Amino acid sequence: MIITCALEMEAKPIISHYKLRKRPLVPIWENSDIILAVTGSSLIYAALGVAKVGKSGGKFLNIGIGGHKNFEIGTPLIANKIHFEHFIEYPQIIFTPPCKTHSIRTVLKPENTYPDHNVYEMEGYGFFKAALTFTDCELITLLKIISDNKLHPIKELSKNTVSILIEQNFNIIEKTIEALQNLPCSSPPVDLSPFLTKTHFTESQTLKLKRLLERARALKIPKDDTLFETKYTSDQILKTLEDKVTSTELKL
Amino acid sequence: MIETLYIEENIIDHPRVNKIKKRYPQASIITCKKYTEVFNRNGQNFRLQKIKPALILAEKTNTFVHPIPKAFAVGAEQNFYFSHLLNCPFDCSYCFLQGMYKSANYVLFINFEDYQKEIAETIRKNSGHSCTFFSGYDGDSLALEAVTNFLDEFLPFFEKFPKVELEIRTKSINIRHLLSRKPLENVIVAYTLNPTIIAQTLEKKAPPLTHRLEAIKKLQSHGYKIGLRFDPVIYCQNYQHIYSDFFSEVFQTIDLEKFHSASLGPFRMPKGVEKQMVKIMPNSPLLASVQKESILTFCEQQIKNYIPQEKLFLCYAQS
Repeated sequence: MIITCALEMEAKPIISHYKLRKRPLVPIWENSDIILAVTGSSLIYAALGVAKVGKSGGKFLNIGIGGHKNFEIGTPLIANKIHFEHFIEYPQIIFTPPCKTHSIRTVLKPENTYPDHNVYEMEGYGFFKAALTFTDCELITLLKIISDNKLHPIKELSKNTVSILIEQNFNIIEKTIEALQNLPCSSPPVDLSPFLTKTHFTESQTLKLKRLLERARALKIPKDDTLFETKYTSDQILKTLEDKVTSTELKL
Repeated sequence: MIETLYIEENIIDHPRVNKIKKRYPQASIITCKKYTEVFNRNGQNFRLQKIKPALILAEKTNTFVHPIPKAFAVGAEQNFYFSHLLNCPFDCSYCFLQGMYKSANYVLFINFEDYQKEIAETIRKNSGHSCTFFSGYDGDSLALEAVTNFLDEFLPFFEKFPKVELEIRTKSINIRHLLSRKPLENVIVAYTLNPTIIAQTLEKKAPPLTHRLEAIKKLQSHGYKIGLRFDPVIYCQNYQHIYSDFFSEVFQTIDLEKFHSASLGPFRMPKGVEKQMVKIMPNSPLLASVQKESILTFCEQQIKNYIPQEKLFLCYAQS
């Protein structure tokens, strides 16, 4: 699970709750299940932060603050639509969200006038687009906590208040993390290395080998270690695997 | 249960949309300009979306009726299909939709009148020929009936064209709406069936075979003509025993007097669709297995033990 926050003040309660340890010299904290990166404010920094810690097929969560013209301070919301200038993205929420969902608008400067019904924030679009290069959009979630509105504009916001807002919503944060963790992961790729280290396979032969090994795994065909022996050519290995796969009937 | 409704901005006040919104008062409503902004986008994963599909309400803008190759016909000279709904709540391992779309969200096109206009025009153009229109190619015709109201809108329409057949293809036992109306001579309710062991393994979330057969019996008693679609049949270990028992069970249950036709087809799909299915389901035993043609010859012979040859349609190239 990869979590990003723009500010250390947003990250602090999460670091402490999950007992994350800091990596030396970089604003990244982790334990065995979670990697948290503090990226800095702006969509570019958010995208760069994701790029630093992103993992293929990983689950990504952005936690941060945002403003809305009239939502109450402290309201948690999961983004269901992300606007940036004329671009729009639709995160697909495939778990029952622990709070309401709402559309957000990523802006380049802090917004004081809140001209439409969106939640205003500064990282969402960059985070989402960068995370999409690593994983499926169903595994990317953005959780925003309202920190400012027309009655309490952003200039009144202190660093301490940010941490308090995150702490107050920890129940929602925990439930969101749990829901994401419970989503299925893609199955591990088949291990080609025992073959590739001993025998030369062309690009197209490697693709064929990969699919044959996947099919053998799906049909529960026992592994044949004798195929790793160097005396076999790539063609012989592929032929043997293909014969085994095609002669195995589907068992229900 | 639908938790998210996407609605195209231009139909937000459409009466059908309002009715669906009322059905799901707790759902998050998200507007979009065009359904394609949400549906089938790069980066989406069909298998993940299948966990909790959203419902997208949209307006279809072009080509409402498509021709069907003769090999897929069940008796008529001219055959067409139309899809008011994309995707379905069942989760069949062999379903080509998961290779065709990156999204498992349901798309309901609510401009039924435009479909009917084009169907009427197609009927007019083919007036010298027998015609069948198929519904349920890109989604189950009955499973979401409570939401779509498809039958209320299309059965009265097809009643006006008694010489034209409508086939409603389904695995659903949601037949309340059909039983509440007078059956039409030109409407065939066609059930896709497979043996219990295959339905349990490969047709997740679909009603069990026994429930489908019960639904067929009720529909036949009510006066509907029934189609049986053995398509796809699945080549597997011990298939002869599995399928011979299955055909015996099916044909002992149904009333052959109120029977329209049976069709038989293999598990097949275009290369591109198969490639996408393998990509998202590399561990699928079905996709890993070899499907052999011998099952088709076997099933054909078995079915002919119960029904006359002219009632059986083979949906595959015969050698």
